[in-house]
Amino acid sequence: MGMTFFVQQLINGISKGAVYALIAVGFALIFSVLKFSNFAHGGMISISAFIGYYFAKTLGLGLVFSLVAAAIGGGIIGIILDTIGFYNLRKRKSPRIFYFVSSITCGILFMNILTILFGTTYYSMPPFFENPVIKLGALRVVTLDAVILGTCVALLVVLMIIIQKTKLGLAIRTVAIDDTTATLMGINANTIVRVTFFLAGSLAGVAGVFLASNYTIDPFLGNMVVKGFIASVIGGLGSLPGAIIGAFLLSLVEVALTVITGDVIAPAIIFVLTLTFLLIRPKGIAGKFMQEKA
Amino acid sequence: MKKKLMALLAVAVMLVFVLAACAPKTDNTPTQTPGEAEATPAPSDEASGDADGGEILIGSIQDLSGAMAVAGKMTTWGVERAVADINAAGGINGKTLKVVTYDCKLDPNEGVNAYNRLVDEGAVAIVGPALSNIGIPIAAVSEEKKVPFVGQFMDERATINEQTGEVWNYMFLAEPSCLQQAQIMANYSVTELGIESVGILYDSSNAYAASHAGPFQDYVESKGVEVVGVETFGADAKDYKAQISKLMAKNPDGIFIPNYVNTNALAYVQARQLGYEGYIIGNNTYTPPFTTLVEGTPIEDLVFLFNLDMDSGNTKEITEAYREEVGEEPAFNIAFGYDDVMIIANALKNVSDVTDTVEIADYIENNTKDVETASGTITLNPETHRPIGMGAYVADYDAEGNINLIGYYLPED
Repeated sequence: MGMTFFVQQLINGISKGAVYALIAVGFALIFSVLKFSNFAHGGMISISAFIGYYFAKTLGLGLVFSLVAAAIGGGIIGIILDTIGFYNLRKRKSPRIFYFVSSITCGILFMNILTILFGTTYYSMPPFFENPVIKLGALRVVTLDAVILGTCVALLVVLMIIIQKTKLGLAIRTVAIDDTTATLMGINANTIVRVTFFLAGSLAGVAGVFLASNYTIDPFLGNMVVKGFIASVIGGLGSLPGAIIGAFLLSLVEVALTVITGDVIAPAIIFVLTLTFLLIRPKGIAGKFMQEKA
Repeated sequence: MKKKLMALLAVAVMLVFVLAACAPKTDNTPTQTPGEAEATPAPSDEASGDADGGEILIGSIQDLSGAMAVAGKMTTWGVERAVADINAAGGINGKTLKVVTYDCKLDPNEGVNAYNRLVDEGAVAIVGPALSNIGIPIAAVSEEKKVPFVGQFMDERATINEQTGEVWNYMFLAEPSCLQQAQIMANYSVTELGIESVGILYDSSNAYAASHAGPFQDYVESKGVEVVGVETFGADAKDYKAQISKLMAKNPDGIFIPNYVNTNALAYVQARQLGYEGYIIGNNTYTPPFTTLVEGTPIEDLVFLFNLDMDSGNTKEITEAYREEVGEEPAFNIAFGYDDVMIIANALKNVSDVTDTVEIADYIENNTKDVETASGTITLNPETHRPIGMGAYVADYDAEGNINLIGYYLPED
């Protein structure tokens, strides 16, 4: 196997990592503010995939329109999720573990509602690009993967600007540190949390459309949120750049293991590595919030 | 506050149980496909031979909402069509044949539950799905419940107990097995495509896929073809580019990809995206919705197994009926359901006691000879409970995305 093979596998790994990073960013955003692992993010991804499918396939609108529609739809779903799943827990200052349980329940609920509405038949997005593959000599880069990578980086930059350079971001960071003190200082913590869920839902919307385009659509597409969780753990729970680094590390390790050991035991090794990370460096590569994980 | 919460929780739990107990049975009535009402004539004394009266209940277990729902619904249509035809011709010795269909949702546990439920409801025979993942767990249950199960679960383990080597007494396969179908594709690849090297990519969590991959590899290797690599992936995997790249690095003439339709579609698209130009060799699930799932990727150099010629022989009549009623192009699954009912009906017409499921199974085993079905005539081998002398077509897609039958081949086994 020559150099071309290894470079192609590197491209495959980065392509996969871009998909994981999309999932991980939205997952990490909620964790950074509310300090719990929101597994309902998967449900939001699934719903957004169907929203994007409706706009792209049924209405025949292009990728950009579908992304915007899914982002808005996902954002609204995020607010609904907070209302039904977490608002009362927040009001009662419930332990973090309750948020975790509620998120899993809501995620399953969303996917099962989709199953009732659409069954588990597979659907597919229409092709968006005239040239679906970029050829670089013997190497191949899927156009969609390149777009996903670019979008992921752009989203991260926009998010970091919002969080670091705007009043909204300041409010989000303040609520993340201590929501009670933030309230005493005149910040409406509930509103900020809702906005955070809207942002996370929008990210889920974008992820849903890209996942649907890259693979096929079914109600359980959002189960890929597990990859987002693992990426966040590796990169550091609570860190947005860490989540992206973790996503790419995860995908590259997966591809490397597939090449070396085959795909059968690769998932087991990945989970062992994840557990090892939690034991040795629980804050991950760049994580900050390690005491109150849920 | 805590007490109020506990009380509310208790009330909620009680409500759930009450609602579950009072909820109507799901899938309890014969499942109807669009237009089926027209195909099922209203029972009348003259039409169904109710002069002798009585009903014979058979069951059907199909995937109606899972990943193979498209095929499952077509099979269900075929089952109901066969039942309607039998009743229109006088029923089973004057008795009306009735079918109840349950949805297994592509879940083995649901399939076993459905089988048990149908047995409890008095079904004397059950039509099974074209799903080995469902057939294999039911095999052991059928030994206990002793109700014959006739279907297209092609994995050999669904008809032969792999621990004892003995046939499962109540399991009957009405199409060529995985081994036979893999041999057909392997033989075609070697003799017609002239491949000298091949890779294999399959879902290791899927019994059906694994049961194709092994025999295919064995056959091609016995003919001197080099298997350059065997790559697998798990049930939830969606990205196979790493595995495909590994195979491509060895430059095989073809890659054998024998999974369910959604997985095959993803693998096909990704192989072409990576620039693989060799043959993609497939199993019998490259049928609808395959062309929809690969939209945007040209379908070229793809050959796959296709069980029947839908426009000839015995199959033609039900194909035309399906087109007229449903308004869609059918796959061979409509014939699967029809065939299974005909095999069961053949036994029911000739046993002395239509409620004796052991006698029915015994008759199916020893006397299913040249039974007229939508697939032609079927004869089952009593030693294996699988068809004798039943082949299949090799097909590809034309430029318009229509299935084109290349030739009919018999397995060597």
